[in-house]
Amino acid sequence: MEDADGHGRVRLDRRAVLGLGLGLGAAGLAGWGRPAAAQVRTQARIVIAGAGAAGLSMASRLAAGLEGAAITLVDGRAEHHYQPGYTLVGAGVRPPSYVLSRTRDYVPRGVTLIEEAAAEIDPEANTVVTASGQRLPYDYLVVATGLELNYAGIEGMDVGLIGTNGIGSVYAGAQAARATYEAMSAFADRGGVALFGRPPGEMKCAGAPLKYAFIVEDILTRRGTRAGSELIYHAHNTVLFGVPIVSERVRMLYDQRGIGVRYEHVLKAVDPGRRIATYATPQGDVEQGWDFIHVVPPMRAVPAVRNSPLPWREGNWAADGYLEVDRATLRHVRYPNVFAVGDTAGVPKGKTAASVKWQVPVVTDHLVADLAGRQSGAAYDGYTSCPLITRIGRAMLIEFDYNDNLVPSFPGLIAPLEELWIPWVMKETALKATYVAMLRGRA
Amino acid sequence: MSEITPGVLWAVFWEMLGLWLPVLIAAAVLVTVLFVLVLRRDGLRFRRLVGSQVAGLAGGLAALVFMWAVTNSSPRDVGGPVDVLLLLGIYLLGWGGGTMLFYALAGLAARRRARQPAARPVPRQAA
Repeated sequence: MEDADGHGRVRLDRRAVLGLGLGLGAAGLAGWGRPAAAQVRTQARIVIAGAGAAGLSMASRLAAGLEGAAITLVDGRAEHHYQPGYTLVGAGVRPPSYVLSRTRDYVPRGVTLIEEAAAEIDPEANTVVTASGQRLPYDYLVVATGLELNYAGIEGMDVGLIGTNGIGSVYAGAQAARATYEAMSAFADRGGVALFGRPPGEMKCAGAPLKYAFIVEDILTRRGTRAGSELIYHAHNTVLFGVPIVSERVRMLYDQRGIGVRYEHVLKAVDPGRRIATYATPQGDVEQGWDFIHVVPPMRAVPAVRNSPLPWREGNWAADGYLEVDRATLRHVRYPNVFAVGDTAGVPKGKTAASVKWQVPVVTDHLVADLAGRQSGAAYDGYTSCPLITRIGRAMLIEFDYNDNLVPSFPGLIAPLEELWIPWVMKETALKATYVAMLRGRA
Repeated sequence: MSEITPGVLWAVFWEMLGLWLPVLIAAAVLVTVLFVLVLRRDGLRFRRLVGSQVAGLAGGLAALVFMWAVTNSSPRDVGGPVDVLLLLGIYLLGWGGGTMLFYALAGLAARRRARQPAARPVPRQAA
């Protein structure tokens, strides 16, 4: 996809300047391959609700593309979480510090960060209200608030239970991912029954629940307790993954690895004391005991979005409150000065950092084009990517679009459905660096 | 990746290595310059080259061990032809770099020996 803003400027911070000072020509290298373009002068007020991967990347791109704009980031969380690293922490190969940093470190110069959550969004009055009641009028709004992990949607479940009673959940943050590893590691030392699954509805990184089952199977094997263990994956519908060809491949691998699969099983309750999980099935509720369970909560838009006029009013994404945006432009269908980026966008796929990387240039181009009085042809095709870990040391580099097509970045070289070392090496060495470069608007 | 340009690669490597990036580039440049200088001064010395190539084998192995260590993986994770290519690439980089380094060091050591005055023979003493 074309670099949507077409500007290609890479600002040099102190570290890059130091690189220059060392005589390595950072400035020249940084400009290679992307033609520089003039900034668009504007006095527009742009509010970005949410300063996660999507919000920060948007701020960096907009700050580079606009001169004079008042860009405001609104987010109550001071910590930044590198969420693609959660599974590595949950696997015990990285410490929690690997995924933690400070939001402030990525805020570009000239952009204001308000460290409060967006409490209310009023697109009729073009205003965002923060948790303390501060009103922020805007000309353009980018909603990048991520989504809410609804652990309460599973009866008996609470975030505080992660790490106790054989309960794990890598989604709830760095410490939860570590606690998940500790619970899983204690289980792996003796073996037993391990349960996995995913919730119905849209979710971030739908590959993670599958990965974690692979990882646990691998660790059991390494510790010599695999033979006495049973692993069961509970799919919420009749497939293991939304992309049919990937689903089939995972089914084959699960079969080879002896991971059982139960379809149309939705986790509805856990009883930590008795270690009993209850699943809703078409035939009624089914109970299953566990020695270890990886809980993936239902997910939905955050309250500020759900309670605003912005969500879909009908269809798949209405109940969970995702924004009603055009799937190609990510522009709101009813409020043209509102865009959605990242997990909160009501589009069929794309709740990964890789999706953000593709979405941000598209939204930037449309917003800058509006301000410059031109039309943008940039479109997001639903691209997303998932290095699907199949064991510690191997992964499949799965990339696909809205139409369930595989769209490999390295066709003919890295086979997308093959368990390989190279995607693992990429995940371990280059992915976080690419992610941080994306936050800074450089990749 | 949506686009892989030298600028993007630079940004990614910068985030990956931080200040180690210029240090590593400087080290690579230094070794290359020394190798070329020694080559121009002494010409190609066959015995020295073979010795350096043999010593460079350890450099290739060190590169692989380093990669496995930093990526929490091992030789058993090689899964397909592209992995073998990656393995060979890493090994060749380590081997090539090691060869150049040892060749340059051997050349510098030879020059230092040549500069030192020859040892005077010790006269035999009658028993």
